[in-house]
Formats: sequence, structure tokens, C-alpha cells
Amino acid sequence: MTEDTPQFDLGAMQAGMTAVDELPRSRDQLLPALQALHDELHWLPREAISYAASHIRVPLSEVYATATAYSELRLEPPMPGQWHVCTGVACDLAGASELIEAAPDRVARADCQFLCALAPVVADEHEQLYGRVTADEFRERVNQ
Amino acid sequence: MTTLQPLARLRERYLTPQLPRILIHRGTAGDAVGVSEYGDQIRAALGDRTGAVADAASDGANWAAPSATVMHGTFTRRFDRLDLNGIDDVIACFTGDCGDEANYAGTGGRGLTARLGRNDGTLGDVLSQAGYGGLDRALSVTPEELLDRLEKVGLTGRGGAHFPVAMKWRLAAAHTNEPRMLVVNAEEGEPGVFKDRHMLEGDPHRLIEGILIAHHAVGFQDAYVYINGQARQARAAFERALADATEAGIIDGSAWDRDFGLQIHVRSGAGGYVCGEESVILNSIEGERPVPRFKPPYATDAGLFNRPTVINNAETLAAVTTIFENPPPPTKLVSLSGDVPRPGLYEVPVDGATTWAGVLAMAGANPQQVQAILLGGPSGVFVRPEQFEDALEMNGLGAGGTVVLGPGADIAQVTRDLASYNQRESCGECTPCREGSVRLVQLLADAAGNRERIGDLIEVLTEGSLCQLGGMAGRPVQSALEQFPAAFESD
Repeated sequence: MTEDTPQFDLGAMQAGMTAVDELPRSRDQLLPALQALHDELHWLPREAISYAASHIRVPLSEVYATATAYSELRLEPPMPGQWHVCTGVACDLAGASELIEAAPDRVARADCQFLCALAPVVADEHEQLYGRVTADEFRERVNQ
Repeated sequence: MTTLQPLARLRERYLTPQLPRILIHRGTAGDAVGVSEYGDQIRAALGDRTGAVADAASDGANWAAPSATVMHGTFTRRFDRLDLNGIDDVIACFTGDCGDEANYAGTGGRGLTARLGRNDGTLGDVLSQAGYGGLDRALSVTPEELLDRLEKVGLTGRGGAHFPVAMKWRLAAAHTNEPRMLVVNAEEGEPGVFKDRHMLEGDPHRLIEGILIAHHAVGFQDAYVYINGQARQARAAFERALADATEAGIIDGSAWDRDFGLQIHVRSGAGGYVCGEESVILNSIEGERPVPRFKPPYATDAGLFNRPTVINNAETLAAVTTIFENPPPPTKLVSLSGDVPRPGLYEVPVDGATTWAGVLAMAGANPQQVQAILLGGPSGVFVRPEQFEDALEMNGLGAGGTVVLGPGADIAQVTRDLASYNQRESCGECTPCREGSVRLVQLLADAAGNRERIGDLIEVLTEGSLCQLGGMAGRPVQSALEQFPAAFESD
């Protein structure tokens, strides 16, 4: 491995591995295994992917093919303190762009968060959703 | 001495006295507007009667959140848009002074949403509100009679494709030699749709009941419930209901002195619009890459693990529980958002009398102030004001995702955003969609000038794509260009 490989939390990795060990070694457990690791680590470092591959006994390349196909599985560590602003149609209509402008350095755009009736919607780094957020409130929350 | 019937036995065991109580509407929607704070205040104010307060899910009235409902027996009153000053009104109503009686609304409504926000998630509460009554009726007839009833009622798939449920079930039931599988599509990855989340958070037992009715009709070995990965509260509520129903002998059939022999598994998706496509779900459950499969073979012949498989939308199975109501309500869950005063989840009668103008009125919107309705999100169409007086038809409603566009909405920009979304979500498996979705976005930069090429490209996407993500990617574009050509001229 190269020295610039991002670090991951060893305790979280251990917890994820324990969860994977509980799963049967069958192909249909591949996504549950990746999700168990992701739930603990909040992303999938190479070591986690390898562990899922060896437990399920599927070639590493196939595990990567699966892991990269799902938008919710991250292959890079999340940015601490980053918020997501929903930019689905209802949130756009309700002023999502103003929320992005309120804290441009701290937010990323997100596709529909399925809370359209409470637009505009934002999510914090723990994926907690907040609805009917105004630009002022958002600025305050982000800077807390 | 008479022997109690199965449902009566269950009720005797689980029903609790229906005392006055306060339900706090949490769920994803309530939590997103901080309803817990008011719940805490109400509990604190009640002191030693705090046990009368329970958490419930959203009742679909998202516009009212944060909200709480006071229940006196079958009468209820919801308090909307709570603030700390409004807590006293809730307490007063609980202790007997609800003000004007006109503010009461009767419960015991019909249809899929009758129990939403009206129960605390316990089995007893659900049983007290007619829970598992549909299953009990279904078990009193033969599978063939059940299929006949479904056919007579004319229930069709609620996920958007509108396929007759009885026909799908019969196709799978015809395979007598193999174990059959049921896949419940609760992936709900279509932007603008939030019905299954509400149903699973607020009334997960209804889905379990629908699954068991389907099992009685067809006979499955396993049922896989595939829930959207982000819908964590929905999954947690469903798993809790599954555990309670298992404990009560509902899942294994012992409550009816039978052996159902069905295993119910819960799986989570992990993102991607394409994951709502039924053959993609099969690949996802099997641990393969989430891409569509070629058809044929159809799932009813060779689906999950190559076995005869019924794939039903979660709403379809919820609707199955109502087929013994007389007459069964032909309703569709509509997720309504956008420029309306009362956005939320609506159960809309699709009986030939309901119009878009009527739906807008329900949501407090003035149809004169609406530029268009986007129906079906990135695979949808725009409904013009001239069509607002047309009656709703089930096969025109898709999955029921409805965004109301007010006078300020930029239809050309919405159209470009939808095209970009489809481009990002294309799984890349087939060329028409992988390449076509990119070209469509490029051509839309000058929609007026590229009108003819866009038409040709949409034809390729529609005819050549492997699944409906690509197949319907051109729909909103075509609809916008035809219905609102002026919106693209100023580009």
C-alpha cells in the first residue's frame, strides 16, 4: 500500500469484520457484508473490500464491481463536518440554491432525499435530515 | 362454551384498553422538524400520566409537522405546527377540553392509510384497528377463490407498470414443481416519491398482511423485502413488526392453526434509481452487480435464484389487504410536494370522479396559480392546466410522485435537471442509455435548435434501452418540449 492511503478507524473495522463473520458465506450475502462494514466505517477502504471478498469467497474484482455500482457505498472517507443539500425538484423550488450559497465551503449537493414535502431539506454528516430549513438557520447550524 | 376464532384469540391476547392518549408524530418527517422536543415537553407537563403519551409515525400530513394527535377512543384531534405555546392546547384536549367539537375527526377511515399516524406501532394497536382482518378473510377462502376475488376487484400493480395482480400471481402459481419466491419492491428510489417510507414507518403490519395474503394465493418458499437503503426508520419499523408478528404466531401461521412455511427476509438497497427496476433488485439480492436483466425469461418463470418469482411493489401488497372491503377502495398513494400549501402523502380515490384540480384543492392550492404538475419525476410527464379537469386514471399515475410547479418554476431548467439525473443514474449496462442519456443532456443545452435530433434520440432511448430507466428517460423531455415549447425558446 502507498503511504497516502487514507486511514480508517481500526475499532470500526474490527466491529465491521465481526458483523461480516456472522453472515453465511454465500454470494447473496455480498451486499449485506459490504453494508455491515460500511455501517461501521462509513466508507469502504480496500481492506474492508478484501475482507468481504474473502468471507464471501468472491474475486476482489467482482466485489469492486458491486461496491462501485451503488451510490450509497463510499470508496473514499467522508469529509468531517460536511453537509448535504438536497437538490431534488421540490427542494430546488423551495430554494436549495440559497442554502448552498449560505455555506458553499461546507456543503455538497445531494440527489433527492425523499422528504420532498418538507423541502428544502439538508442532511448533516450523520445523515440526520432537517426539513423546511431557511438560509439563516442553515448558516447557524453549519457554524455551530 | 364457544371456541374463539383465530383473530379474536389474537385480539384477546394483545389488545390493551383504549384509554385517552397523545400520539407524537415522529418518523423521518417529524424528526426532521424536531417534533421530539415538543414530545418531551408534553411528557413533562403530564407528570405521572406520561404513560399516555406514545410515539407514532407521520400520518402523511407532512405540512402539519411537527404535530401530535389526541385520541379519545375513536375520536381524534390533531394539533398542527406545534410550538412551545401550543403544548397547553394539547394537554387541555387530552384532559377533556378539545374546544369546538367540529374540530374532531372520526377515525376508522378506509383504505391503505387508515392506520397511519393512528397507532403506536404495537401489534395490539394494529389489531384494534382491523389489522390482519384481510388475511383472516383471505384464509377463509381457497387460493383459487382468492385469485378470483383479486381479478374481480381488478387490482393492478401500484409501482407504475399497472400489471394485473391476479394475472401475475397466477403465472407464478402455475409453476407447481419448484419453490416460488416473492420479492417486495420497497426500494422507492424515484425522486419525489415517499409513500412506501410512510407506509413502512407508520403501518408495517399492513405489508406483512399483504405478503401473507399473497403467500396464501401463490405459495412461496421465501419472501424478500427490499427496502431503500436510506430509509432506515422504515426498515427498523418493519423489522420490529416482523418480530412482533412472529412472536404472535402470525408469520408461521400457528395463530390460525396452520403452517404457512414462509421465510421472510429483509434486505436494504444501497442507492441508485435503477435499483427500483425489478430485475435489478433480483441481481442485487443475489449479490451480483445491480444492472437489469434481459427479458425473457420473465421473473414469473425464472426470477430470483432462477425460480418462479412474483415481484410486487410494497403499495400493491398493502392494497391487497383491502380487497375484501365492500366495495374495495380503488385508491392510489400520491406523494405531493412542490408549490402547494399542504404537501404530504395523500390517498387519492381513483374512481373516475377525482381530478387534478380536486387533488390540488385538497392540498390547498389554487389551480389557477399552478403552471404544471410534474408527474413521475425523471421518468414522468408534465400535466398542463388544461388537463386539470380530467379524471385521474390509475395507469396514468406511475408511482404517484407529484411535484406541483408554481408560476415561478423554470420548466426548461427542471427538464434539464431531470435529464442530468437520468444521466448520472444510468448504470451503463446498455449503450442506448449509457450514451444516449449523455447526448440528451448535451442537446438540451439548445433544445429549440436541436428539436429534431432530440426527437430521434428519444426514439432510440425508448426503443433500445434494456430497462425503463433509459426507456423513459426521454419522457419528461418530450413532454416539456411538446407542452411548453415557449419555455425553451428563450434559452
